[in-house]
Amino acid sequence: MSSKKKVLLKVIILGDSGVGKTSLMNQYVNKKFSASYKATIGADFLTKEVVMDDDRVVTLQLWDTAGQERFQSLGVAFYRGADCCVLVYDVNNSKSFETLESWRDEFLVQASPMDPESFPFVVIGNKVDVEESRRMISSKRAMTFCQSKGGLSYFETSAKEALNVEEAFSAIAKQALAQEEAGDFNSDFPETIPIDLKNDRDGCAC
Amino acid sequence: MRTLDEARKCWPQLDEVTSISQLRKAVSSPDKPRITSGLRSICWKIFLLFNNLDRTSWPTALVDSRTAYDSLRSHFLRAIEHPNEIESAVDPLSEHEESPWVALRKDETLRAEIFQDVERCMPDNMYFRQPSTQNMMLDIIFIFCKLNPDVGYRQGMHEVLAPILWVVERDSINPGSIERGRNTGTASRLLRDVCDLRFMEHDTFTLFRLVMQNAKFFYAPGEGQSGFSQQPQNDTPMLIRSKRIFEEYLPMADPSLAAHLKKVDIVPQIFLMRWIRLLFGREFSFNEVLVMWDIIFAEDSSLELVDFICIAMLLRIRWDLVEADTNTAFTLLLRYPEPDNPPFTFVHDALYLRDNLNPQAGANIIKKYGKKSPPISENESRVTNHARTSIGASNSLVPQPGSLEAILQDAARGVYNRGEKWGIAKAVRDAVGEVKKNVQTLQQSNSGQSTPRSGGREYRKPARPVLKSTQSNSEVLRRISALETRNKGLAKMLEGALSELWECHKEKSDEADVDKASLEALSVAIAKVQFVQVYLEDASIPLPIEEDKGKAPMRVLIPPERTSSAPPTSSPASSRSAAISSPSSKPPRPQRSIGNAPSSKTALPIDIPSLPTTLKSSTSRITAVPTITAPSPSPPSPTISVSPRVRPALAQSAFSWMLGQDERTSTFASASAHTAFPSDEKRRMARGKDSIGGKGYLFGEDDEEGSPIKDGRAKGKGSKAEKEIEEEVIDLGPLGKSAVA
Repeated sequence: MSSKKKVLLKVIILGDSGVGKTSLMNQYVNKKFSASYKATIGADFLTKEVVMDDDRVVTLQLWDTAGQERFQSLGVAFYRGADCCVLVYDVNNSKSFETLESWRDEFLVQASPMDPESFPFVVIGNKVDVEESRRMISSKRAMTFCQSKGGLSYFETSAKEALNVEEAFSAIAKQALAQEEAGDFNSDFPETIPIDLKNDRDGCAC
Repeated sequence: MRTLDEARKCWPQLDEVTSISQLRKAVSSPDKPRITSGLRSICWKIFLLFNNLDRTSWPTALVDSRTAYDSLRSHFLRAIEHPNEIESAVDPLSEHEESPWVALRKDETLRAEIFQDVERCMPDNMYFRQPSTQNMMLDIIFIFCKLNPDVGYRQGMHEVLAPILWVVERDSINPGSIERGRNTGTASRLLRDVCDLRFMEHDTFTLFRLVMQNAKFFYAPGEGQSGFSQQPQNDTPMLIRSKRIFEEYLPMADPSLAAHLKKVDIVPQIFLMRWIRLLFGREFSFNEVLVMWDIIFAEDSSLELVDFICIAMLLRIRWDLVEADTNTAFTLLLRYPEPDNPPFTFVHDALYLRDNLNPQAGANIIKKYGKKSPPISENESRVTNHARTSIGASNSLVPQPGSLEAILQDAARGVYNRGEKWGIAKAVRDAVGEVKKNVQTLQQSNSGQSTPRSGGREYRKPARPVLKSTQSNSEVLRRISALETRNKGLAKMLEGALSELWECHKEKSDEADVDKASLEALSVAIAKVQFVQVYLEDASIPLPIEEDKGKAPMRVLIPPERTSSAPPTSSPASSRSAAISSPSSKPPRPQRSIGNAPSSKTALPIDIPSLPTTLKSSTSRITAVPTITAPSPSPPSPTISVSPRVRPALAQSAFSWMLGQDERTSTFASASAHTAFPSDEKRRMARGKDSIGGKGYLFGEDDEEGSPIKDGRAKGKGSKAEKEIEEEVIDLGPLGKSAVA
């Protein structure tokens, strides 16, 4: 309660061009939807203050990215210090689902979090408002993927109809906060470093 | 679209303009009505395509570019539009690399990717919602991508195209709507031709291609990058540019703002990428952006000015930024506040900053808009001045062309005055330096295309203007002779200054207690100035080379059309340098005994700028000499091929000569070869070759037969000896002459 330290959480939204990253972010932050968002160039950003379960207020710094940009064009500095990564695909576009894995892998390379295994990713299948017959990726298939990647959280949303958007982002905020605090924990206890060193030495011995 | 009568109303404005520089001034002027309000597309064509006001040459330029587009269109769209005509024995379902069906599927994927953005381009503008418009944009971008497979389609290109299309469409005239027998005057015919509705797509493509010739580097991948990869990769040209703006330019203009933004972890490419890639298209309202583009195209079609526009934008909101935390700063930068003054003022500020990049100039810009000037500490300005000299030639060397004479006279006077104060020899040496620099500036300003600017970046200016197939040789010759005349005039002035100096020398030597050594030094120094004067007077004298450790070597700049620049994506191995050594013969005239007169033995390197984005490599040096010795660089291939990239698709096509890049990457010998031939001739020659690499370059050819370079004067030895270092002697006698001028 007493620790009113200002918490800033950095969230990066990735996914193929046209899956609705900008729409999701705008729906969440501004409660607005437009059918005609221009293509994002480079990156864009919005912030939102969020009240957490324990009444703490955190600031979410949401980074929207251009779907076509490959990572190197934004530079590693952009990815460093992220607390959560959101992977978005369009449930009516199987290619956008198939690229999720490479988005995730590449993010880990660029952001190089301390513990890649436990770094929080949230997967969002967007555009569920589109008629069922056009749907390409079933919930089951998406959930299997999330399981195989170490139990990633999965949400199906419609930015257009504001369906499940709030829920997805509050999960994102929660996971980002947990990650941020784990990071603080790690830096408070330097014991973690000798473990790394030991691993390094083992590596050299081979 | 508009009627001929409407268009004709605007035409007289153009009649009043007699020179490109006058038109440039008129376009940049904030006075209303703007000349571009009714003649925008024509002004853009003048600045980007015609590069002159000689209206008789325009129809040829238009016919050439329109024919070129027709050829490109039918070549690249044939498979897309008529898939049934694919004549191939390969199974359509085959995944074989060479299969035309695989190529077709790839093209269709590319088109889908482009269309996804075209569809959501300018959502509020009805013109861009029409399927015909969208298809036109799709085709134009698609053809551009096929021509530039190294960059391909990158998001944002569509928003560079949209304003161009809009501008061309607004001004176009439907020839069918003109009554027969009416308005058949020359002016009307030309106007109808320049704005012909039937060639709207052609002309839009041409302008887009010309803008993208420089803007493509805002989109280009880093070296060796393709798609997803686990490998750490090199920075993209855009990242390098952002870094330069943020870490070099901004600290010069406003050190404390730069320090603050760094402190709050602002990653510059995040906002600069959008600002620059779209040429500020999303930062301001559409009509305001068009006015910005007017001035950008008029003042600097190489688009280097955008860096300084960014600085101007940062300075405008300086006080908001220095008080901002990370979130607020990013919000300001990604949602740039609507400025009180129209956005074209950023371009004006940029022009000022380009020539004066220091804290005082930064403060002036901030003050200009009614804001408090930031404190400038003594320390900061000193640091910055140091930084300035370290990035190459300084911006202070760019006076207005008209004031050159005054500056030369000042230099001479400076010699005299300073001589009294701090030892004459040093002052004279400085004066020699100043004269050298002014000669450089002079040559730039006389070359017509190159605006004086800093850091040697002018060398990277595209060779385009003079390479235009439509540009006649006589134009080039006229310019050279004007330059010669001017040089002679300068020599005369310098002569006057010199006689003053000798007089001062005489007075000194008549004095009884004069220091012998300093007198000696003075005579040496004056002799050196005289040396410059002699060289200035007669352009035909080859310049000997001075190997000077402390100072910049004596340089004679090559006119921009002779420089070459390699694309930034070229591999390090391609950053080759060739040394042009001066002949062992002494220059014919200046035989006055000169103490440490420049020795003619040392080789003078030409640094072919390999990375336009880094300043260090951008200084080219060249001198006019009868022979050119080009030792091969250490990397395997002994040939100087400035275009190392392979483009299989185009290499096999008959249209490789149309590549914009072609012009950029040619070395000066091939550049002159280009100018020497009419476009048809070039096309014919290009057809004879089967790849870009096979085209004639100055320093040898990839061509196995070692066929002579096109102009017949230069011989390049083709070489198969991969690792051997080999010298190639190229006779450039006739070329040498003009290189000095």
